Amino acid sequence: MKAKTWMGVALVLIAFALIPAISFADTSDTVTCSAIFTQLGITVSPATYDFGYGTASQVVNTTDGYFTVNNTGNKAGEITISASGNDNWQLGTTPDNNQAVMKAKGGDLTDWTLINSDATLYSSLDGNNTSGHFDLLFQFPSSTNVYTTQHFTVTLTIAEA
Amino acid sequence: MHKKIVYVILYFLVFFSLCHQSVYAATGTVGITYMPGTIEVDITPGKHVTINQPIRVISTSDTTRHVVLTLMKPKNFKEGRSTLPDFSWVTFSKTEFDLEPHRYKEVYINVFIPKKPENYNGHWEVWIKAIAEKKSGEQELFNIECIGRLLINTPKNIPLVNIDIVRPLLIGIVAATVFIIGGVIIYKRKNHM
Repeated sequence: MKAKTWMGVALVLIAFALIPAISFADTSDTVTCSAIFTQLGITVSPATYDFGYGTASQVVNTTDGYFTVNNTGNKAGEITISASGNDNWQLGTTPDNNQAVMKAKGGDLTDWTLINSDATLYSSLDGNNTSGHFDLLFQFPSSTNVYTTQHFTVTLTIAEA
Repeated sequence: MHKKIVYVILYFLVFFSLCHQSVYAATGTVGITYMPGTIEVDITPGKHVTINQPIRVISTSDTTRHVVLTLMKPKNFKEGRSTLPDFSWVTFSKTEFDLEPHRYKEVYINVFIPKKPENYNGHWEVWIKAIAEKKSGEQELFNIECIGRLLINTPKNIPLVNIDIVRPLLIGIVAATVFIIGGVIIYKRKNHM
């Protein structure tokens, strides 16, 4: 066999070596995954509440655990509550111009507690449709230049206890 | 006579329909279910991975909700874990969607961890928050959030030789060996050694 033939064979082999070098540069992979089938779930009702008309700094609140929160998951969960205002009326710690106050009571919150930041409503509420109850308090701004209906948002969060 | 009966029936139908609307508004429920609560994955840095276990978000609301998925720093950790160094390593097949009452949607999680020595032997945790927001203009009071955990592990040892180059390297060595042996044989034949 001549030298040229040997060189040809060697070049072909080198070419085959380069093709896998490109094709083996894989970027995807299967992954080992274990999922713990805990289920997190929460419902609250009723979904709405109308605090009605009010005067400067007037306080209105629900009573007797008006709102019901259910842990619909299959494990105990920690439930936190917070509230936010809107472009016209902010929420704060005291009534002010265009600033209202919102508080909650129920569960771990044995007294009216500000909810303009996260507050723990239930540090551990059992799962499987265990229910809890809470009330909301709303204090109107001390003054305002907005006289239309204002909507607020209360957020309930559940995480594994 | 027949017309009167029809009008009376229509009247009652409208009346009961309105009653139903009123009761519905007063007792409406807002809620979601999120599962699984915890997902744990072993991932090799440098690989694009789609976790084959999707997140399922189920509506238990009486109205359509806008669901948003975000990542957040854990407020507490499973034992031996720390915060995922870079949240951009985790993405979702969809980050927001409308969820109709009592329906569900599934979302897949994609993970890519850069291939760097510091990304091996990782035991990280990041929280996934599913927020069921009220839709714009709705008068409902509540937003609902569920928080699940994503646990990510990477291999303990940094591979000394990248497996991706082992096979081409071997073929290259074989090719070089054939080339050299062939050259030696031809050289010997030509020189009658």
